[in-house]
Amino acid sequence: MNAPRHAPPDYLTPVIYHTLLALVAEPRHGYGISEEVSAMTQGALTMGPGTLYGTLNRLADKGWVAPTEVDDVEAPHADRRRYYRLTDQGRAVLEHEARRLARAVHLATDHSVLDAS
Amino acid sequence: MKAFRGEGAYRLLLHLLPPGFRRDHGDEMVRWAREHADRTSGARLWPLLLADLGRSLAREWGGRGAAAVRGLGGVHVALRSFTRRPGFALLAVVTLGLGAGFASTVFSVVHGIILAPMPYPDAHEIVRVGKISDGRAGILSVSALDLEDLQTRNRSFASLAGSRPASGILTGGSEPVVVRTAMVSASFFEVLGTEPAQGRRWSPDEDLPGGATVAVLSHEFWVRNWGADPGLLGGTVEIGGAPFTVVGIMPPGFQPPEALYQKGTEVWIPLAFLDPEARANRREQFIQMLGRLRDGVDAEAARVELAELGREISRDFPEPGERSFGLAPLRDETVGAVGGRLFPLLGAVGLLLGIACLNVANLVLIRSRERRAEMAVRVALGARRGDVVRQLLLENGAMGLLAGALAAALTWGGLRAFAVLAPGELPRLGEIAPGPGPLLLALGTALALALVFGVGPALLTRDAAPAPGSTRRSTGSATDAWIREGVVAVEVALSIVLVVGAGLLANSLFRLNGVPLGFDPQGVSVVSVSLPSDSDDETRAFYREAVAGIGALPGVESAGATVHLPLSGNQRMLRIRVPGLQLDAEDEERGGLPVHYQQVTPEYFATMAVPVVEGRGLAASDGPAAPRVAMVNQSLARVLAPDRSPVGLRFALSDDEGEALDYEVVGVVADLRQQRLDAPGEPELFFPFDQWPTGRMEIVARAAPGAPPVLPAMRARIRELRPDLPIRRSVRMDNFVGSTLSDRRFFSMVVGGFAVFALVLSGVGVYGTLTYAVSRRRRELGVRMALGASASTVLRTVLRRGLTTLAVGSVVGLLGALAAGRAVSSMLFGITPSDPVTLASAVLGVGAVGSLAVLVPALRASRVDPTESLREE
Repeated sequence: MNAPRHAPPDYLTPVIYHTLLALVAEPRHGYGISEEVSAMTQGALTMGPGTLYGTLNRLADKGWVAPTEVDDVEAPHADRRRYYRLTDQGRAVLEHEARRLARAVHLATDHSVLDAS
Repeated sequence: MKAFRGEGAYRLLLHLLPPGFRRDHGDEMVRWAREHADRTSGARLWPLLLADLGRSLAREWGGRGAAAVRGLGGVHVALRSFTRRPGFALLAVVTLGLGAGFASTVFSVVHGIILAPMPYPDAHEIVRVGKISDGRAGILSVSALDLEDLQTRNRSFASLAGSRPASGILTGGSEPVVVRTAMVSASFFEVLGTEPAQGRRWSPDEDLPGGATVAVLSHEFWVRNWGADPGLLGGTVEIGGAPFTVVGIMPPGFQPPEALYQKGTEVWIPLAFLDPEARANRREQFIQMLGRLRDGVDAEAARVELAELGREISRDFPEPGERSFGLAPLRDETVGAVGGRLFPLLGAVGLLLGIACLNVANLVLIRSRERRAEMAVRVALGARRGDVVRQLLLENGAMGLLAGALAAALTWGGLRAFAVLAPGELPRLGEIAPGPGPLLLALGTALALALVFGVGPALLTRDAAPAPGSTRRSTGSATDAWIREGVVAVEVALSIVLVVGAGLLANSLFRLNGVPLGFDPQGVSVVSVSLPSDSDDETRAFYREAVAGIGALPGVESAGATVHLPLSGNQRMLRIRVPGLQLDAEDEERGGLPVHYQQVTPEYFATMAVPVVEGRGLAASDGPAAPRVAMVNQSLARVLAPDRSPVGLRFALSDDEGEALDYEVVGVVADLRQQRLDAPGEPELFFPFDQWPTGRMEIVARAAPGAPPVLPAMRARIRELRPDLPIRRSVRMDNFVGSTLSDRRFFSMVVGGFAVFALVLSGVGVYGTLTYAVSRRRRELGVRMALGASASTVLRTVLRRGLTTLAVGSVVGLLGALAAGRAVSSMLFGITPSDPVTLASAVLGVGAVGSLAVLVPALRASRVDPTESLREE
C-alpha cells in the first residue's frame, strides 16, 4: 500500500466517501458518478452538479482522483466528456476510511448497539 | 442532448460562481442538469439545482468570500441600514426595478424588431426587389416573365428568387392540416443563405415548368405533425390534392421573410407549379422577388442597374406598359411603418425611467440628510472619507442588485407577455425572446442607475456634513431644498408629458371607434375562399351557388360577395379614361385616372347595409352577356362629376385597346372605409362579379337580429359544395373591425400603463419630499405655533410650498408635451398634439394626484403640537 502523501483526515464526509467509492469499479463521468452514488445509497444522497464538481475539484487537488480520457465510441468527438478515475492515493484514503468505519461498526456491535448478525 | 426548460436562466445563474470554477465546470454542470432533466420532472429538477447552487456558492466563494467581507467591511452595516429603514429600501428597489424592467423590455423589443439584423447569414446583402410605382409605397410584385428576364440579365445579384404565397391543405399525416405554403424558386434558399438541415432543396432544373413534385418542410411543422419521424424524408404528402415528395427539412427556428407575406409559411414547393397561363402573362404580376447582392456591389449600384433593366425590358416587351424596378433592404421592408410606431414607445419608457431615477435620487438625498448625524459620528470615530464612500457604494450596490433582479424578472415576463399580447401585424415577433441579453441589460441598468443616482447625490452634499457637536436638528440648507424641489418639479413635468401622450393615444382610439364605417358590421359574418384556377364559367357557377345557398340558410337575411373586405387594407388599382375629365400631367401620361376597384355580387351592398345614393344598384341581369356596367362611390362621383350626377357617364379602362367607352356608371354608393379606419374613402369602382369573375372572394352574410351564429352553417355550406376547398378565413365582421384597431389598442394600453406608473411615482416624489420638509421643520413650526400662528397659517405655508412646486412642474411639463407631441402625431386620429382638452386633463390629473400628496403632509404639519415638538429636543 502506498503511503498517502498527506496524512489522511480523521474521517471523510459522506459526499467524498461515496464519490470515491463510485469510482472504484471504473472511471466515470460527472453524471455517472452522481447516478452511482444515488444508486448506492438508494437515493439517500443526491449530489447536485455544483456539489459534484466542487467535490471533484477538491479531490483532484488532493490527488485522490484524476481526470482521464476514455474512448467513448458512442459519443461524437465534440461531445466527449471528462471522465474521472480513482488514483492509488485515493484508493488508499478510501481503504483507510473504510477500515475506520468497519472498526466503528465493530465497536458498536461490541457494545450491543447493533445486533451481531 | 436537448436543452432543458430554463437552461438559459441556469447558465445565467452560474455566473454567480467564481469565474475559474465556472470556466472549468460550467458546461459540465449544464450537461449534468440536461441529463438529469431527462430523468426527472422540471418541478423536481429546479429545486435541486437551486439548492445545490446555493451550497456551491457558499463553498466555492468560501475563503475568498470571507476575505471580501473583511476587506470591504461594512456589508453588515449596509444590510443593517436596510433593515433599519425597510420602507425606504423597498421603495427605492421597487421604483428602480420597475423602471429598469420596463425600459429593458421596451428596448429589447425595439432592438429585436428594428435594430437587430435579420436572422439570415450576411443579412445586409438581402434586398427586396420588384416593381416600383410613384403612386404606391414599397416594392411591388412582378410577373413570372419579368422575374426570368431580371434573373438572366442582371449582373448585380449573386442570386434572385421569386416567391408566391399559396395556401393549401396538406394530407399524408394523421389528418389533413391547413398549412401556409409558398412556391419559391430554387434560388430562394441561396438568397436567404439557409439550406435544408436534412435532405436537400430542389435544383434549378426541377424548378422549370413541369418540374419535380418536391417539397421542403419547416422543422416545426415536421415535428408537430410527424413527431420528427425521419421516415417522412423521401415520403409523400399531398398538397392541394397533388402528391409531393418531401426532400428536405429546414433547420429549427428558420423564419421565412415576412416581407414576402411568408409569415407562418411552413411548406415550400417549386415556383414551377405556377399556373401556366399566369406564367406566360406579363400582366399577371404576383411574384415577389428577393435578391442577394453580389460581393462588392452596393444597393445603390444595383438600383441603377435595375432602373436600366426596367427600361430595357419595357422596350423589348412593351405590352403591359412602362415598368420601373427598384429595391429596398429586406429589413426596411419587413419593419415597415408599424415598426416606426415603436420609437414613441421607447421615448415613453425613457421618460418613465427618468422619473424613476429622479425619485430614487430624491429618496437618497433625503436619506443622506437624515443620516448626516450617523456619518458625522462615524467620521468622529475615525472613519476615513473612503470608508464612508465605500459604505455608500455597498448600500447602493446591494440595492441595485435587488432592483436588478426585479427588473430582470419583469423583463423576462414582459417579453413573454409582449409576444402574446402584441398585435399580430408587428413584424419579427417570433425573434423576440427573453434571452440572457435582455436580462443582463435589465440587471446592469438597475445596478448602474442605483450607483449613479444613489451615490452621486449623496456625494454632492456630503461635504456639507456638519461637524460633530453642531445642533443635530437643522432645517437643512436652502440649497438642498431647492435641489429637492427642483427634482420633484422635473418629475411632475415628465409625468405630464407621459400623461398627455397616453391621453392623446386613448383619445384617438376613442374617436376611431366612433368613426362611421360606411357599413354596418353588426350581424355580418364572413367566409373567405379561393377557387383553384377554374374557368370563368365554373367560378361564376360556384359563387352563384355558394352565395345563394348561404343566403337561404335559416337566420340569414341576405348574402353577397366581394374581393376585399372593408378595412382589410387590400386594394387593387386600375386607371380609367373618361371623356372631358381634366387629369394632371402624370396621370395623363400614365393613361388615366387611378381608382381602386372591386368586383362584388349584386347583394353585397344590401348585405353590408351600404346605401345606394343615386341611380341603381348592381343586378343579377348585369351578366356576362349584358352591357358592361359599374358603380362608383361618392368620392369617385365627386371627382368624375363634381356638380351633377355621374349616372350615365361612360368610361374605358386604360389597359383596353381602342377608345371604345365600354363601361357605364349606373349608380353611386356611399363611401365605405376600404383601407383603414383612419383613412377616408378613396375613389373606388365596383364591377359586377359576373362580368369579371375572380377566384378569390369573401362571402358575407347578414344574420337576422337575434338569430343564432351562422358561421358554422356557412362553412358547412361551402364544404358541401366543394369539400376540397380550404376556407381561408371565417370571422364575424364586428370582430374583424375590432382587430384592425388591435395595434392602436395595444400601444395605448402600454403607454397608458406607463402614464399611471409615472403618476404614482411623481405622487410618491411629492409626498416624500414634503413629508421630509415638514418633519425637518417640526421644531420651527412648533415655535411658530407657540408664538401664535394658527393651524391654518401653517397649513397654508406648507400647501403653498408644495403647490408651487407642482405648478412649476406643470408649466414645464406642458411645454415638453407640446414639443413631444410631434413625435406621436402620426399615430393620432382626429386630434392634434396640442389638443387643449387633453393638455388640461393631464394637468388636472397630475395636479390632483400631486395635491393629494401635498395635502397629507400639510395637514400633519398643521397638527404639530408645539409643546411636543419643543420637548423633543
